[in-house]
Amino acid sequence: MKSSFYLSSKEVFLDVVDAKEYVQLDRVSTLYQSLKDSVKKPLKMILLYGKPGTGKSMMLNKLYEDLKEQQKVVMYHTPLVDETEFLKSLARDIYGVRPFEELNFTQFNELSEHYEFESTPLVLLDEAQLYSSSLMEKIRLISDARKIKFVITLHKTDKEDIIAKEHFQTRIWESLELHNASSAELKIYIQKKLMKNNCFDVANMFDNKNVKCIHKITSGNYRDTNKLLDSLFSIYDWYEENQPTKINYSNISNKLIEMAAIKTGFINA
Amino acid sequence: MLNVHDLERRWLKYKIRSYIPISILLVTVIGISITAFSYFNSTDTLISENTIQQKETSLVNSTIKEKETSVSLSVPENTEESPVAEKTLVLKPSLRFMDNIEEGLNPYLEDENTDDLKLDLQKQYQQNEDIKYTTNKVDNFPDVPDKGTLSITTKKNESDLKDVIRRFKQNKNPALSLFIAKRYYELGKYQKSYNYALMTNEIDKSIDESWILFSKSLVKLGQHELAVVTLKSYLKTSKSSQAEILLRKIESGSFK
Repeated sequence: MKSSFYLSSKEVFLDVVDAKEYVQLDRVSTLYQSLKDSVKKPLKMILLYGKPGTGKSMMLNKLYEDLKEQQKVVMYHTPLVDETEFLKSLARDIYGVRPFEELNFTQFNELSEHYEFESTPLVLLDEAQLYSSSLMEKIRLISDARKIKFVITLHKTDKEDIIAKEHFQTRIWESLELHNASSAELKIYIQKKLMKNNCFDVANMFDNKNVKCIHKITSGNYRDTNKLLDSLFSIYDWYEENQPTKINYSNISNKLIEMAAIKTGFINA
Repeated sequence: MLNVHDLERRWLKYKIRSYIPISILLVTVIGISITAFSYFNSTDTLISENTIQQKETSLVNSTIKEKETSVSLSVPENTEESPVAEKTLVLKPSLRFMDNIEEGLNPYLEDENTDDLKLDLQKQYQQNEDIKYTTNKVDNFPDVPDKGTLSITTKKNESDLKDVIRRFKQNKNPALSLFIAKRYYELGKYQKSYNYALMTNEIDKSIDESWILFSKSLVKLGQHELAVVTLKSYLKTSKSSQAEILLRKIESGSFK
């Protein structure tokens, strides 16, 4: 069924952070290996930064999936803005303690003194730019005590650069920057994703011109590419249902890519 | 809800809009090319036109001189509207090229009324053997008969001549003054013919035809002796055969 053919392709590009959907590309793979190596080092903090949609959360998620069997790893996708809540979550997830009352920073340090691990527990904090300055200061102090190791992700903006400077600059051993994909990387990314989900025919429909067109629209941003392709396959699905004669099954149409870009707002028309 | 028709319409609009800058650029480039091409073309045309005009002017000058010479020799005295007049009319179209001829000339004629030009030839000849003429006003020119009865003109000829006089006043071209002198001579207006021949001589002393016409006008005005003296004086500096022939004719009385 051709209709399900495009629909299944559409589902591939749903914007969800799933380590199973992680696509290994040369540059990303190198970075990921660097991250894994850094985690093994006796570092206090590791900073993973880049523009939105460059795959920071995906990489963090992948790291979590890869390490969770080997050591104590905790991942917080959603920032815990309240300090007490954050400390209580750490006590619960790392030490298995569920404090009924308020847990302040001093109490948390006292608690951490009672526990020892073979390797330092790892806490992965996504969207760290949303944490308050005072909470970030507490995180810094915890990492300084070498009781917990943190890997945090930050959006690379001017504001977040300031946060990085203030709180992490002197303490971070390793900082890794993620970039948007090049045109060649984007083609591999799209095709690998499709092939992972058994959409081989659709994967073969993408040629360099299509990828260049997509890259021009999304600048190689993975999140934007997912969004665009999701929209593209919605349009394909509609044509398949209503006007199948207008579809070229051997190639992806740049016209439809541009229509998808208009639909998603990447092109203002 | 996916509205593909609306998307198609918006896509078409987007494509058209995306081609606008390219189209503007293309039109601008073509426009500049055409302007540049036409500009260089027009420059070439102007240059070639100027060249043609110069060539035509020189050709016409020589033609006028030749024709006027032959006409002056063949014009019978006191003729009415004759084939000669028609011949001179043939020259008219080519005269417009003379407008372009600007030569450094003596500020000879300040007074627009050429009829006011008077001569004091006798005095001049006494003072200097060289031929010199003045345009000083003399109230009583000696024995200059009025042969107004011989001036047969047509409306067309008058207007033609006025136009040439106007142009002569503008550019002081001796070819034009010689032409006017010839026309007046043909029309029997010897006084005016004499004046214009005199002006021509003043501008350019080397034109045979002008001296011949000047002498012929003097003869027609009854100044035979003065005409002979003039021709003899001229022949001292020139070897004009026509001047010699005319001198002989005047002296023998065959030219009256």
